[in-house]
Amino acid sequence: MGVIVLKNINKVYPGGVVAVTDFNLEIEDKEFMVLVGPSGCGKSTVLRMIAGLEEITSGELYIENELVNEIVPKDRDIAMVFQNYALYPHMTVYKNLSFALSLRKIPKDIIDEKVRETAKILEIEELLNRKPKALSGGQRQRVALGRAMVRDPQAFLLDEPLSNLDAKLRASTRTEITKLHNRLETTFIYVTHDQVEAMTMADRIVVMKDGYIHQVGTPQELYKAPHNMFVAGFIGTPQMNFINTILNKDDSAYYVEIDNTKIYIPEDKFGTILDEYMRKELVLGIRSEDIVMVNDYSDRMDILNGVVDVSEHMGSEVFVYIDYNNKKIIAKFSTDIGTTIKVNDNIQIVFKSQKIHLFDKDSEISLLDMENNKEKVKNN
Amino acid sequence: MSISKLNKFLCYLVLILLSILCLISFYLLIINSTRAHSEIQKGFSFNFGDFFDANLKNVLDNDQLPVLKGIRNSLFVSIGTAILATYFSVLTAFSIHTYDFKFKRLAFTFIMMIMMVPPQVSALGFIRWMGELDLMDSLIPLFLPSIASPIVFYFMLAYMQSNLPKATIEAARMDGSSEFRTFNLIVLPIMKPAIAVQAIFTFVSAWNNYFIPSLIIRSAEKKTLPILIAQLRSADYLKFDMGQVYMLIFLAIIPIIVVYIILSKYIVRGVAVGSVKE
Repeated sequence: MGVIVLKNINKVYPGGVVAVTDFNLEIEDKEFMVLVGPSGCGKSTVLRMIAGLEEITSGELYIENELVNEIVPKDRDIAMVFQNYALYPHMTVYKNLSFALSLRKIPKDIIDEKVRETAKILEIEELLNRKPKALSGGQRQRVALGRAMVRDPQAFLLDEPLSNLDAKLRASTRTEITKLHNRLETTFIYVTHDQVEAMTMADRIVVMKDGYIHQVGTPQELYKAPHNMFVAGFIGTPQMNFINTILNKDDSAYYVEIDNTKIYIPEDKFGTILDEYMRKELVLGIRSEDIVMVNDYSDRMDILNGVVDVSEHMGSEVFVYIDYNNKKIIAKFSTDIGTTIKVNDNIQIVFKSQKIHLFDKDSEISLLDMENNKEKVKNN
Repeated sequence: MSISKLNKFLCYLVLILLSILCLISFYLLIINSTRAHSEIQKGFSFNFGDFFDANLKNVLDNDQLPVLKGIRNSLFVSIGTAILATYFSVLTAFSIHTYDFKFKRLAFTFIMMIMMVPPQVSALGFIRWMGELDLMDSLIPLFLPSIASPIVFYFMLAYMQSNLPKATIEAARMDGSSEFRTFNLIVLPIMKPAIAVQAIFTFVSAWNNYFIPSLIIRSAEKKTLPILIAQLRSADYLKFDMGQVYMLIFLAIIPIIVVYIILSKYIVRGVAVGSVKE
């Protein structure tokens, strides 16, 4: 149940606005798939095409091996939760939940049973006789979820369902949706622009931008091995640091130079692709937690001497904005180290070499990915 | 007296004067319906007379004047107009609001253009057409054309655009509702306040309409109230009775007041509040 396949899907709006280009994705049964990207990247359009609310310009959409391009939403057996909930304002919560079932001519006692069961799971039993306007945002959210649940659909589509909730409620609802997914064992397709939601909830994430898929993978894959600079920058807070540099080699190893500081590149990680980039421009990427503060003034070549610009205390950790020869670097330190750091202090940092990412400057694609592809081509 | 109090006082003064201006005609109407013809001719009075029963009896017993039939005809035409005008205007507005179809802009512009044309301009053509359709001296031409009411449509569209989110319609689609069912079960209830407002307006204008009925209706038992009132007013000198005229007008405004009282409770903004979080 619930396998959804998108093949070469394109969406062009009247007037020639291209929303989605060549979208290929196979969503497995019971998978929690999150589509994430900045606003206008086409993620909601993909969701709406799966729902049948938006026509597919070209390509094929299969639900359970059935081509559904021309099938109207009501016959696709999928449910959707809208960003603004879209409850029926004139109906009570009970009627909102039972509407879909009563349209299907299901006997009243069975409807009643299902509605009450759903209300019990979502803890909205005492709200059944209220109208939406008498509910809080979180309660409306639950009703919207319930309206989708009562039908036992093959898949749930959720379009930024948490964006109208306040931060605290968002976090708790997030875990509840994850629990709900485990409990219902149904395919979930979830659209959000918030990478934290994507990282915490997803089995797999699709990162989109400008109508293209940039990467599909598990949260760990995206975090550890981003395919390109966009994914690297989009996933993770604070953003990954990017520094323009040039690759070089001395007798011992490959290194990149950042204002006379040599940072050695682990050859075992990147492989032979490094040869192709000798003396070429590259972008080095390093996550803020992979930056270490060093106190000894040893003669290590890879120490960067910077000045603290701003330091932000987040509670369990401290974000330190470091100015290094007019390059901005954000580092994340634990509180016990972080609290000793003051603005305008000099600071010495090194990058964990195994955690360094390298990107082609023009295509912005990760060197590691290119190397892996080379391997694949060789093996084939 | 502080300035804000003075302001308040002036506001109330103006409002009270305006209210008196509005209500005085009703008051005089009711007063005059209780007075005899001879008394009315003597001039204004603010006191009630004793002729209410007599005037009522004269109006109801007047052989030339089928008042009860007139009320029935007027109710039939006005209710028909209110229902058709509101239902089909919401339906039209729904299609323009929700769907994208070829010539949508053209259709919209066309409807807007019709709105500019006063009914008097097209009356002659309308009458001739009704003649050809054999619908002269029938009540049908008095309410059926209200299916196409551009002004009502425009009001509905404006209300819909601010109160009916597309997501609500899409949610109904996902729930498995057909388009027509969505319209009847979801859209119409959300549109209730707008429908109530327009139902009052269309009811009143149909109730008061004299122009078209006077051109269409010939036989006495099909006459609507405005025609009867006009008939009474243009009676010859010997039969002319102002008491009856006022009594008939008094009877004629009762249904309007009743309709207003029934529907005014629906005219509350914000039925759609809570459907969508803004």
